[in-house]
Amino acid sequence: MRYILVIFLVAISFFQIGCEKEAEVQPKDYPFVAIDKLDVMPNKYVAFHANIAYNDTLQIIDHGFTICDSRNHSNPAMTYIISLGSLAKNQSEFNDTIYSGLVYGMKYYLRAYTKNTRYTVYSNEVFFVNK
Amino acid sequence: MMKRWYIIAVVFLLPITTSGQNEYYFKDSSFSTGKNLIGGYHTSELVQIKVGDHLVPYSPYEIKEFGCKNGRVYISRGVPNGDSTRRVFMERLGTRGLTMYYYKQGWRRHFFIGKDSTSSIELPRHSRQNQRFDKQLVELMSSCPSAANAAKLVRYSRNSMAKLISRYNSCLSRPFPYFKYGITLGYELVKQVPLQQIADLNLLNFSYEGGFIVGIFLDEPIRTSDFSFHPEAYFSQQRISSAGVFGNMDVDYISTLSGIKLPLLLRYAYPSNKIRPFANAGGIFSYNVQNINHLYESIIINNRVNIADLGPFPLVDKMQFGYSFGGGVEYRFSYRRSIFLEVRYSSVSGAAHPSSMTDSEVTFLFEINL
Repeated sequence: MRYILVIFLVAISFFQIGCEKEAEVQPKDYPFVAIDKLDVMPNKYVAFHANIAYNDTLQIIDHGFTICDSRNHSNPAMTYIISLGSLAKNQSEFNDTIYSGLVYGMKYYLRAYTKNTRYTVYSNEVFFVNK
Repeated sequence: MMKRWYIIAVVFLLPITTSGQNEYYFKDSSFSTGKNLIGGYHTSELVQIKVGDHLVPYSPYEIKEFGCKNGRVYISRGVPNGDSTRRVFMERLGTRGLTMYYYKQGWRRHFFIGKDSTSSIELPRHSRQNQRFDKQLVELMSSCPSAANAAKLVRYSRNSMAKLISRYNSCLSRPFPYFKYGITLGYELVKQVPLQQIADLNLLNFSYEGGFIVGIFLDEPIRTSDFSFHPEAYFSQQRISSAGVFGNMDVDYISTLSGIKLPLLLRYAYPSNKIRPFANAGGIFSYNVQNINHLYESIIINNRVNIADLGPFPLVDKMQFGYSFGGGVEYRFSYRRSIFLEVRYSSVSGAAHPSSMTDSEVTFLFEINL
């Protein structure tokens, strides 16, 4: 019985590993958005996922991703915007997938964004190479 | 006549020789005592005795008894050997009341118990009636309840048996050192401190943040003393968040850590009866299975927020080493069961990267042995 209890506890402990919710940034008066996952399958798809913290004050009227290639990295005019529209309050994540239109071997820069009635927030930038 | 001299010598000379840390031996009818008489190496079948400048081996057929500098006394006596008997040197455990004799041959240990060397009987690990040695000891020691309880915990080893005999002969009611294992539960407060200048980290104020822990512990007495080796393995998870505002810039540090911690401690527990204060100290090893750290810098200009992740860099190492010390009390609610309450401080830092964070941890522990 004792051995079973100990094994059970150890099993629970190991099960807990990896199930941990990630830490959040300290409270903000703007929705804090960050890209946390990027899945690249060259010439097939690129999937990305973003988290939002503190989406509880003002309605998000637009959100989505921006993407540009390495030739136009600092040129806003050449940045492609993937708009996903408005977002319900307290929704804490969003994602999207691109299936076509990317050049094989090209390096791309990606950011998530949210826009409410007061702030436009651009997330951390991540990059990937389509190869 | 010779036997009488032997008894007189034992009664009068032995206390003198043992208290003076002298060594001695009885050979035939002669008694010799002095310093450095007995060689460092002796077994159940021979003892080396210094004769002049040489060490001469003697068998249990030649030497009746010898005493070493450390106070241990060995007696030659016969043991069954098939249909006959043979003599071996046995160590005497206990000097008054119940006495135990012990010798080891190869890996096999032999114990004899009785009021004196002639009436003692062998105490095998399992008797012919398949009765365990501890059950027999409980019966033998029933006149002293605290020793009878200790007999339920005794190991088939020299140190454990010697401690038990001493407890029985003095009938002392004290906790008997034995192997324990059980469950560890607790609450851990962690504060991360940057070791060196890393980007904006040094601008932030870090405070203690808490998380629950769950795991197991072992407690193995060292040479059946009040000192023990106390390893633990527990699962811990921490979510740390710190922020600062500097003009139009927000700096945020977040860290998610979960993994196994292994403190390897040396514990001393005061041998009181019901409540035992204890202290322990030692090393600690952490393996962070989940180790996610971000340092964000958000610049706000005209209500437009640009967030940058200043990583990746090794803020927290996957493997961390450090030290740990603490103290608490053990509450014994039966001869075998206890609960332990402890407060412990630990400090761990990464071995691989000198720029990584140091974790200061204050842990409140509750342990129960099964």
